[in-house]
Amino acid sequence: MSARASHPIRRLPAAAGGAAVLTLAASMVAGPGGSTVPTVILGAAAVVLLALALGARARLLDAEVGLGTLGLVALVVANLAAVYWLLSSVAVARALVPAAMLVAGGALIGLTLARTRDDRGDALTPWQSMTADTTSRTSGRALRTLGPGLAGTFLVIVACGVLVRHLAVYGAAWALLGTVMLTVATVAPAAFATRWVALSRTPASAAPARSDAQVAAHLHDSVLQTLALIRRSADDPGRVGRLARAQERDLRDWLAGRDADRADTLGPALRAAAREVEDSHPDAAIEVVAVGDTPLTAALQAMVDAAREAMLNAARHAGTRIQVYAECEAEGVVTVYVRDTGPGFVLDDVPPQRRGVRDAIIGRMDSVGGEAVIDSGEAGTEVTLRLTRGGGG
Amino acid sequence: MTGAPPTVVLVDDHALFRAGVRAELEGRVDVVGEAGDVASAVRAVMAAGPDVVLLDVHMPDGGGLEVLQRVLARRPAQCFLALTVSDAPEDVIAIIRAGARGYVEKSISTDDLAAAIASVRAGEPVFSPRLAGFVLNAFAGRAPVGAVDPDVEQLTPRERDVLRLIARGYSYKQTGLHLGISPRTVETHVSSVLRKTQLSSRHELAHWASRRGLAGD
Repeated sequence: MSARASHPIRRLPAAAGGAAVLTLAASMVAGPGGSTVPTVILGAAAVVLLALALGARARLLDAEVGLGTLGLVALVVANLAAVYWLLSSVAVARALVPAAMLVAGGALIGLTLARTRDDRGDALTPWQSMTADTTSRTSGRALRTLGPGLAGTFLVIVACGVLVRHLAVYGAAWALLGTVMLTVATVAPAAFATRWVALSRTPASAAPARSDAQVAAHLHDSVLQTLALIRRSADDPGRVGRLARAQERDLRDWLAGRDADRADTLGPALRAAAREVEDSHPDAAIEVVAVGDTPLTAALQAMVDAAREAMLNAARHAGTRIQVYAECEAEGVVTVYVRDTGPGFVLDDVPPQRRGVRDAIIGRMDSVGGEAVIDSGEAGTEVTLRLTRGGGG
Repeated sequence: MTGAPPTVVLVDDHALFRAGVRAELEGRVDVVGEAGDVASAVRAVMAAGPDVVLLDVHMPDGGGLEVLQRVLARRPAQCFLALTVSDAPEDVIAIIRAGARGYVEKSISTDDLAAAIASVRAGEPVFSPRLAGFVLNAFAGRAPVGAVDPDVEQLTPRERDVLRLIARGYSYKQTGLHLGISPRTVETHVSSVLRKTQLSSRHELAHWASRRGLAGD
């Protein structure tokens, strides 16, 4: 977004205005009233419009910028016409006013062409794009779409009529030829610019359609398969529960736009660890709540590993519900709590050959300058892991 | 927990789910009405005047939010418990802001659901660990200086402590024990948090929802 905002193409309107002013100034110095002046200005305008069209073809412009520029060019031409008319030559103004009308008409027709595309938002998660309210966007669309197009067509027709009248002094054939050429020179670039803009934007507007296909494919690959498995496992409640839970987790990740494989911050890494533990211990249900998040460092990775070990321990001994809470405080302190409500254990009672708790939790945290506290009692066991970011990382 | 079971209206567009909840809660609550869409839900709630409305967040025609707003406009004291499969913070915070007294997930056990219904009926908010996390995120997501809306009350340190313990999986009673305060005081803190969440401005929450995730950016 920001890259596009600073693109040089944005300066085109200013360049167009400057070029037109310079042309006008030069012709005024050379002597006002010459019949070449309108031709020169219109030529300059045509060059600018062609440049716009080429820019659109190179996919540098989006519809708003392109049409906005066309509108601005029309405005500049109209202003010049008014100034020049006040100063001296009525003839020039007579040529410029219909020219401005032609440009404006072209822009309006272009706007109509651009509006016929329906662009729904593209930066949404699958869930958001499915639940997004699109009705308000489509209501009254016919009027909004057709209005500018009709106005543009009207402007172009009137401008042609005026041009034919003005050029009639050169004879009927020249008048017609001149009108056709001027119309083509102004309307065609506008139409082409818009067409190219529309073509260059097609991938973005095709995104929702593709997303619908993705929804269907995802439902087919995952949900339907799981439902079939559940039906076949109807006599095994444990397996049904595990299948349902795994599918639910997959679907939630997918709906939220989370990629389980891209766990490069603390929260997703803890969720991934919880998922691994759940997969190996089907009875365990682990909920991860994270307040704040922070990119993974080597020390934080060690913390995630220690937390995984704590979850494994809870899954092995306590069984069912395990609550993981992670908090990243502003002072750079990261704390992870792993809590279960099963029967507790006393660290000193753990036989030395069972190294899991000591090495994998306490040792790991020690090695990265953090600390691990295990609080076990009747109400369950809670492992607290604490690390100061940058302090020993 | 008074003698008579609480009266409940079930609002969910899935008839199968309503039937399931009704069967599960048989004998523990008195289901006095059911509805599957917004208009009939508003009618059923206004007619029955139940102790608690069990409200699905996602329904056609505006969902639970619309039901909440329409009923609360006419009967501000009506008690709602949101029941949802959604774990999107936007959905959950929106329904709490609109006036629900609590939020539970549809995967909740029957015992926990009955307890949650009894709690909200008694005027206590029901905060799951997940909701506590969402609220902490909502209030912590603001920059310490500058970006804070002066009209929005911040959480007190004590309220944060309470929320942290709930997020860690502690019950109100255990939270009270841990902090050396009575369960009643814990409920007062949670009610105060609920009120602040409901009063916080839409803009702040939208801002938070869009940038939730990375701390310190």
